[in-house]
Amino acid sequence: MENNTATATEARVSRNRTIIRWIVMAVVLAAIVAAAMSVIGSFKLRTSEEEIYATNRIRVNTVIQTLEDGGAEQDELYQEYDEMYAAKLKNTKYYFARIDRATIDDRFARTAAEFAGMDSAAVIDAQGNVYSTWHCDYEFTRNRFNMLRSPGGDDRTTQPFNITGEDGVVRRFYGMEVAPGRILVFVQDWTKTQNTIRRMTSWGSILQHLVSVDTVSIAVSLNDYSYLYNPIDDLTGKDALQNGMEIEYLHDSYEGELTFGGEKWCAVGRQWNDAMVFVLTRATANIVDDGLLIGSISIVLTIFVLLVAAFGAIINRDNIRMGKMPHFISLIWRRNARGEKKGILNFNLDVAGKLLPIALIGVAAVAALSYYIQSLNALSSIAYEANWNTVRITDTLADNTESADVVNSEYKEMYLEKCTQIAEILEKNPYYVLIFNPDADNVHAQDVVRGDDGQVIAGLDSYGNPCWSISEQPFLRSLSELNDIEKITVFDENGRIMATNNKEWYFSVSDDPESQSYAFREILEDHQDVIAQDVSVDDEGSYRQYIGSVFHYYTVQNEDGSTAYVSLDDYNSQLAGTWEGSPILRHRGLVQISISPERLRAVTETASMYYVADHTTVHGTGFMTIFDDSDEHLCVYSRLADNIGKPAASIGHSADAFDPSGESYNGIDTLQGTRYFQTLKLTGGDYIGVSVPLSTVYAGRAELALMVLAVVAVAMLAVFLWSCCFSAATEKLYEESTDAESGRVRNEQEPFLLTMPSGKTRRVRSAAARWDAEYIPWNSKTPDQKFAAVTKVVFHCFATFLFLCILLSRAGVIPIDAINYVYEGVWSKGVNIFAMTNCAITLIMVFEIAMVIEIVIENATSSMGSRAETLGHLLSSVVRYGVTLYAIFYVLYMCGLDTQSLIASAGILSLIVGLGAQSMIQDILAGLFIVFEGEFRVGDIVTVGDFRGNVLEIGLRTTKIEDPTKNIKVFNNSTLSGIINMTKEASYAAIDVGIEYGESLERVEAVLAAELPEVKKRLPAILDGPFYKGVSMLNNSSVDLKILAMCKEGDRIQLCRDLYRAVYLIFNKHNINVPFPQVTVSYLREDEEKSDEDNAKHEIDRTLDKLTEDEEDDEEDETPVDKA
Amino acid sequence: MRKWFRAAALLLAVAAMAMLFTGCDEALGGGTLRVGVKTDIANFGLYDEESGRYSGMEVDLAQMLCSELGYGALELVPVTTGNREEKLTNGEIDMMIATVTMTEERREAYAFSAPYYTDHVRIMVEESSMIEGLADLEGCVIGVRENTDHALSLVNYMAEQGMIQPVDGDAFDPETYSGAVTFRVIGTYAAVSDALESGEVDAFLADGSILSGFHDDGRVLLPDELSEQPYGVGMVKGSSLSGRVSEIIDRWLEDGTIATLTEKWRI
Repeated sequence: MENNTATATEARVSRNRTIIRWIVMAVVLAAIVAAAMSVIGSFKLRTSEEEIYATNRIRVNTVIQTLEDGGAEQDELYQEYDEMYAAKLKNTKYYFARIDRATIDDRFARTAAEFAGMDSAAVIDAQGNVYSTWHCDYEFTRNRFNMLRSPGGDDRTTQPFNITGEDGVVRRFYGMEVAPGRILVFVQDWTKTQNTIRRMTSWGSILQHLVSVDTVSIAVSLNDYSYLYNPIDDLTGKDALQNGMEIEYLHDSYEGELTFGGEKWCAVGRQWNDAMVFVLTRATANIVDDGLLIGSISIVLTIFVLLVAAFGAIINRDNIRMGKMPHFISLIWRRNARGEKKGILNFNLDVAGKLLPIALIGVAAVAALSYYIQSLNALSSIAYEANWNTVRITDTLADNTESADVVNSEYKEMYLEKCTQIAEILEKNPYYVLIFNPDADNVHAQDVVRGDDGQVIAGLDSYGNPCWSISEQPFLRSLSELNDIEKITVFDENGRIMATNNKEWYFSVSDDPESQSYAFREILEDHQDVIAQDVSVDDEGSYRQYIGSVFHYYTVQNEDGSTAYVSLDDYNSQLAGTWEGSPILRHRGLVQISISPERLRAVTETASMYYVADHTTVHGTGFMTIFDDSDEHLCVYSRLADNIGKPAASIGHSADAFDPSGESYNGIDTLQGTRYFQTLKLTGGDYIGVSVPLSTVYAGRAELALMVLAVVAVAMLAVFLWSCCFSAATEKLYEESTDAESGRVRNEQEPFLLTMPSGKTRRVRSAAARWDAEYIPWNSKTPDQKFAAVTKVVFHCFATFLFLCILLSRAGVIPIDAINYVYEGVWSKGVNIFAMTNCAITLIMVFEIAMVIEIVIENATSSMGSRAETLGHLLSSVVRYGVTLYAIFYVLYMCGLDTQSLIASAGILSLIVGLGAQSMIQDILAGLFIVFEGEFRVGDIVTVGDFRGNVLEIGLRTTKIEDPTKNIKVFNNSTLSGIINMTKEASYAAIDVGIEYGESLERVEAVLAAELPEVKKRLPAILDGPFYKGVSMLNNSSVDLKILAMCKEGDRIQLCRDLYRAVYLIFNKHNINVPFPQVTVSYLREDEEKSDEDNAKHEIDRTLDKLTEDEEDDEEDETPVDKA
Repeated sequence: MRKWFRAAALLLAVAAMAMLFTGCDEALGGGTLRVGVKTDIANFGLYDEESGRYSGMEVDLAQMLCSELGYGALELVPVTTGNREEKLTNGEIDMMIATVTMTEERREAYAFSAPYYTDHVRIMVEESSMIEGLADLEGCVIGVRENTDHALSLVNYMAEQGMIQPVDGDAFDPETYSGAVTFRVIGTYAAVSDALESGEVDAFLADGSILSGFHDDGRVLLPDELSEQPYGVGMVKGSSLSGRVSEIIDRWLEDGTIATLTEKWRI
């Protein structure tokens, strides 16, 4: 006894040690895997970082291209402003010098300033002496103003320069010689201009749109090292060197990290003119992504490896318990004292055989899963970015339009001013209109051009050059040059051209409302004084802007009938009463200027979708395309010029990618031979698409997958070897395992030995056990079942974890791109990764929920009686079948099959199926009726035909009945007719006992009456009785008495036996004989000579015959009687 | 077997932990190098209150020397022209890289490396004054800071060029001098700059290094270089440092390292 305990304890201790060994090994393995994955993780981070740098390299080039395309040329704008102020000077000079030869007196500065719209002006000479000032107080004699005092002569203005005053305001000085020895100086508040220009063309307005998720663009001035634009922490304008920038980075090109506000950014910079332009991406952006990726792969890897390790552990432990010495080969051995080979390290072939396929499957599974996770991750982050870009484009467009509007209005103001100035000049100087004088020397009479009404409108000189004509008026030409205006046209009150600086003299203000010039009629008709139209594009694609201003011209009628033009001053003198001539008539005309602002074009261009699309890069090599909303979805913009104008289908887009309801489309399409990740969305009237080549998306997938494969292969190999190798110490464990224990284990697990057709033997459980909802205790499970149980638990844990992740991600706590994408993105149904992931996740969830429902039903109904139990079972079946059906349809739906029509077409299918499923339906209906009408229930004892047994289970289709010898018969419900239910009432155990014919019946009855109650006490199966019922039969050799006892049906047969036994004992006690067949032989004494022997023999033969017949009649065994 | 395994497991675990901590820097041994630098000279030694950072060519030089000499850390000590030599002698700093002009007297008192930068006195003018050379300066007002000898340098230079008669250095007083040019002596460099802006003075006369801090778009330096002023690293005579530093500076002057620095700071 003690020995056994000792051995048992020892065994338990060594078993525990084994368990500890396994746990330690698992922990170490997990640590190794973690270390390996962190190495892989840093590799991934590095490649992700490299990707970022590669993308940003491309981006920074795009940014610089955009800048060069005319966005940020502040210098040009400054130049324009300089030209504008210079033009004011020139205009003023022209006005006062040619027209109003006023003496430049001390009020001149003010006059000039008012004329030109300047705040501050002065008139000085070359030495700096001041003759007139207006809000202008400087020591012009100082050398500081040397540049101002040395104009180039003619119409050249001086080189402008700035002076920062004590008040901090920057002022710019312009000068021009307006009269010999007199320099007109204009002073402009340059700070105001600087602000205007910055507002119009800020780096910000260009750079802020060239961004992506987590990516910004910044610029540093290389002149003063300040941030030209930096949206991070609002650093625009601040000193760069003191805010995150190092001077080493600011030349040529730079690649590296920058830190702003504690965050790290991966930056690529390039020098552009006097600035350094950077594109930065948040360094942490990919860390979270990569972290999740590596994390999920690690978890998958660890789970699989640990599962295989667990399987190995289970097998080993069970084998040890069963004392089954495995086949093995010794890897390391030594010879012991007796010269025998003793293995130090052995390799278990049995375990190896079982474990190898699982390990290989594990490796393949991990590799495949890691590849899948990577793909999902890459695609979803691309999808996210691409869609973000599509949304952004509308914002960008709006911003650009706003900026363009601002610039437009500034220009409009500027040119409107010019127009009115010109009108004023013309009013005072009518000499621009010179009447054709046919008597002039250089005119030939025939070289005239007449208008429709016969009026001469042009003449040509002998060289064919127009002279004194209304077109190419030299005066107007000068004016237009001075003011940088393309065309100046003067219209009379009827809308006919009076003078113009270009060749198109036949033009007139149109009467046709459709025409562009019609608007200017408003001026002629005294409805408006100025009109400034917006920039428009003419038929040739040039940008043009027309501005008109009212002006008045004055005519007098000469004596010879011709018309002469006089000036405003003449008219004023008429008003004053000093005019001596024919009455002056005042007319309302129109001065129209047209400008072709090339610089305007650049900004206006940015307010177009095409510009924005052209300057957007997605993930480095991705690009945007724009389609219109016609039926064919023609391409209106594409990087590839060939594609413009083609219908979308010819490029490779499918028609259902264009969703008019505004939902965005995400899919993987093959366009012109290359596979792209594609989004399409209706935005602002057009469809905007983003395409990213899949090769970019999937970059780095293969290497990572290989690395993971390597890690998992190594880990699996380690586990495999670990599981299969065992030492001499373990060998002992096998030997120690007692026979009794191994026998018990064997019985517990697999009591039945089955020989398979292939010759192998297998140990199996009974059939009934498979249907038992009974929980099999852990120790009774086979290794395979244990492994299955472990895997199931792991799977359920994983499903719960997945569910949590989805909840957290959808609630926004930890946004996981992949999950959000699978649920939010509108995916094309088909065999693609998102649809399949959606399928997988949904199916897992659905099956988990179904399982939970089933458990709930089971637990709820198990305590409510067998009817509820049956019902519960039925419900579970319904749930199970329903869920499976749903799953099938969902998968088909996700794969792109049109399940609507599938279900519809199933109408015919169902007819066919229905015909074939007749019997099944019959079974199901029969089953339902059985359950609801309660003909019998689970646990009842029934007899069907000649089969009597216990009802194990009533299913939808079949019912299983188990007989006392544990055979199970499976009936189709529809065949369960004529059932005898033996459970409902109590059964009667009936026995017939015989007494001798000579016995006193009264005596026996009395004995029975006394003894039978005692029997009840001794036989607990008797519910009531036993009762003596009387004489059942007057048998051949006995008088049969019937004794009845009430009992349960299940006890009946045994009770019969017990009753017989009890009655026999009672009869023995009271000397009541149990009869046996008796024969009385009597023979006749007829012939004494005849041998008595012969007669006796004869009689004996006859009696013997009779006896034999009686024997056959009796049921009971008879002791043969031989009375002969 | 089990024992071996335990040991191996432990080792692996340790190795795993070690791998996880990859990338941790560990400061190697070494002392701290204390260098005196200026705090108010743009592009040489400038201290920014807001960010608490020093920037400038001399700051860069200090850092480079620190790592080249094998020190563990660098401490930048703010100095002025007035107190830098004192700090060197009393040991507060190991060396001074603070626009120290290597005059004769200083060379006698301290050990210097070869000059890493040669500054000159320069003349800065406004572009709009159209002064392009020394000749144009005639009759102009030159702004100088008080307590500097730049005015004298200019006068001597002009004498050398033959523009004016040589002047007696001892008797020279910028405030009273009236020759080809006149001087305006102003209290601070910033004030001189303002005077230049408004035109009160026609030129700004000061060290090139100082002028670089006041340079902007509209201003230009005249090509004339007056009065050479070599800057060197100043150390205590006879210290072990001086030999090594001199050798390093010599090497850097040859291989272009110093030239890169100068380019970077545009000085």
